[in-house]
Amino acid sequence: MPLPELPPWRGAEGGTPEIEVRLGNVPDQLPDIIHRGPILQIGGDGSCRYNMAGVACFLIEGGRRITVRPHMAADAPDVRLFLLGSVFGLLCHQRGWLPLHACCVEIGGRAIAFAGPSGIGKSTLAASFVRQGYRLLADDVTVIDAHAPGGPLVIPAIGRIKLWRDTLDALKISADGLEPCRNRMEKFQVPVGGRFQLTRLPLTAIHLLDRVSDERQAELLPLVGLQAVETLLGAVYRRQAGERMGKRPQMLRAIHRLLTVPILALRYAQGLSHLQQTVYRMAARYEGRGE
Amino acid sequence: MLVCRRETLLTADLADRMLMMDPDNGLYFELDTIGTDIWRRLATPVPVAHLVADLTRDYDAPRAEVERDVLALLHDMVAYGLVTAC
Amino acid sequence: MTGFCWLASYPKSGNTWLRLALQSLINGGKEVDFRSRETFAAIAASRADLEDVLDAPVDEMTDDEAEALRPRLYETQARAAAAPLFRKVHDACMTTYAGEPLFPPALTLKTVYIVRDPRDVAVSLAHHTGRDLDQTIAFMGDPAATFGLAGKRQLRQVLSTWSFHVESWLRDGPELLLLRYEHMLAAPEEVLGRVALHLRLDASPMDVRRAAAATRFDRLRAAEDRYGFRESPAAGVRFFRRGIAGGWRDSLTPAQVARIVANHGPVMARLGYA
Repeated sequence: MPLPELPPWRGAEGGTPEIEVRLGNVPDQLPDIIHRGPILQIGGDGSCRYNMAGVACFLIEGGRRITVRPHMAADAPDVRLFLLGSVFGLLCHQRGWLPLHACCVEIGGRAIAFAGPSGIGKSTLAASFVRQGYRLLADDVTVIDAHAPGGPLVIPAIGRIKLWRDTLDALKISADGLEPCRNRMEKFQVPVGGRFQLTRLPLTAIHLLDRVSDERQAELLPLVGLQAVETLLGAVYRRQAGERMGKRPQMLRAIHRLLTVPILALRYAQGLSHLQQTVYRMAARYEGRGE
Repeated sequence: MLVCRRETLLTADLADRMLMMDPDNGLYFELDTIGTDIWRRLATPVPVAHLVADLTRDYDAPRAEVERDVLALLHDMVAYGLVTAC
Repeated sequence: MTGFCWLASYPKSGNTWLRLALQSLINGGKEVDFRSRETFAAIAASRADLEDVLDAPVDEMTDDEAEALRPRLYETQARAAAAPLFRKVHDACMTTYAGEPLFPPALTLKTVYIVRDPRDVAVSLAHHTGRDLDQTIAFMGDPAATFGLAGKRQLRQVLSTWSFHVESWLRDGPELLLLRYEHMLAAPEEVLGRVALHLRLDASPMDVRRAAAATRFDRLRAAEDRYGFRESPAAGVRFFRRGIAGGWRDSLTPAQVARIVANHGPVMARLGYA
């Protein structure tokens, strides 16, 4: 299956890939089913069946194998959108990686994440950082190996940013030639090319984004204790699915490791100029910490 | 009766408090200053009577009051599986 | 297994007042705490519910796809709940893109539909959305009109025209009690008593009296002044503004009134808004 969003394989020729994606048949029902919803099924062995009506059905197994049965052309962007989004999120839970609903950029050689719910401005923030010359690790889902020996690491995955047309317009990026995320959807894939960070980087700070209506309420404040745990748990991508898979203990263990990096609430005012200021402030804050 | 901490808990020291997470049941807790102090005193299994006596001395408080508060806290901690009688 | 009580209305027609009054009522007539995050009857078009209950990737879905899943959401929620579920609704009562009723009759215990003079709705809605009156009047006459912004906490809600909205609920709303905003304002105690009876709420006449008093318009307005109201459209924009019937007379031009009547005359006449 062609996956132009992913960087080309640079490992050893003929090496064993970490994750395998193939076209194939997906059973209607998983064995020893423990959860049955209209979209998600979970089997007794932890395998997941994820069905998007009209787009594709996915089988995710063992944290390393994804089988795709498309309901439309296999190379349609729609199929890849769900594959590289929710389906990949489920695979992370199976694998023991923590997927955070966050964008992530490289500043001063370290990974800085900005988490928050949909519509809070993660992708716009990511695009603003990239425009300022910083490298992207993730635009929507930041994958963390919390138990890496030297401390939590961010695993970069996808070198593109998904932006709605009005954001493209506001950032003065032309939509010409951009691939829509889905047929007839006003959201586009913006490739970041050389601005993609290809290697894993230590996670240095996580910000929880929140919008305020008045610039005077903008602030940056540390979150500790229960507050930090709760906000991080709330920012786990596909958390409910992870919990249904029995992964809550695993999530808590990962979050426990994340408490070693600063967790901050970042409240910023709406509007592009405020966003721009946020980018400058964050860059100044983390560049100073260098190597 | 000795009181023992459950060692599979994940803890994090905050300035004056302690955060505890129990991955087995997915619950998490925060202990206040005194609760944190008591938790530290449980690092090695200790009889309840000794714990009460030590706290009465160190906090210079009436023994009956200390006993009541400590038993209430230990009761909760047992209920949530943070400590066991051993 | 249980079902739903839908509290439905076109936007700016008194739905929030009714919910606050019911919230007070089930608490024995207590003052409504504007600082609390809890509200009685969460919105039926909740994006978070669709994501959390059905694992739906709403970000990546079209509005039509998300809408088609809503009956599945309500089925799942009704199966899991022990007591009746209350939901606020602004959608028209219609079928989904997949061709089934958005609000499954089999899951509906009761419906309350609130209607308000469309001339007052226009004034209130213009204020709420920050659009001018002419745009708002056009919006209320647009068959494709929708509510709820993309990327926000609510899913898209199809309103269609004000007339279509009213007629859809009067025709298809199961177990329906029709309320008028104007009547709620004039006789809140009586209306609240009828709602409590219809919804089979366990409330004494004393509770009803207290709840009606606790949610008098001037009290809600004062509470909003003091604490703000989290359903306000933007900072500095009042949610509880005038709370009067017939206020359109000093806000609409004769031409604007004529346009509303031209669009909605038959339904207005049917409801006595002549």
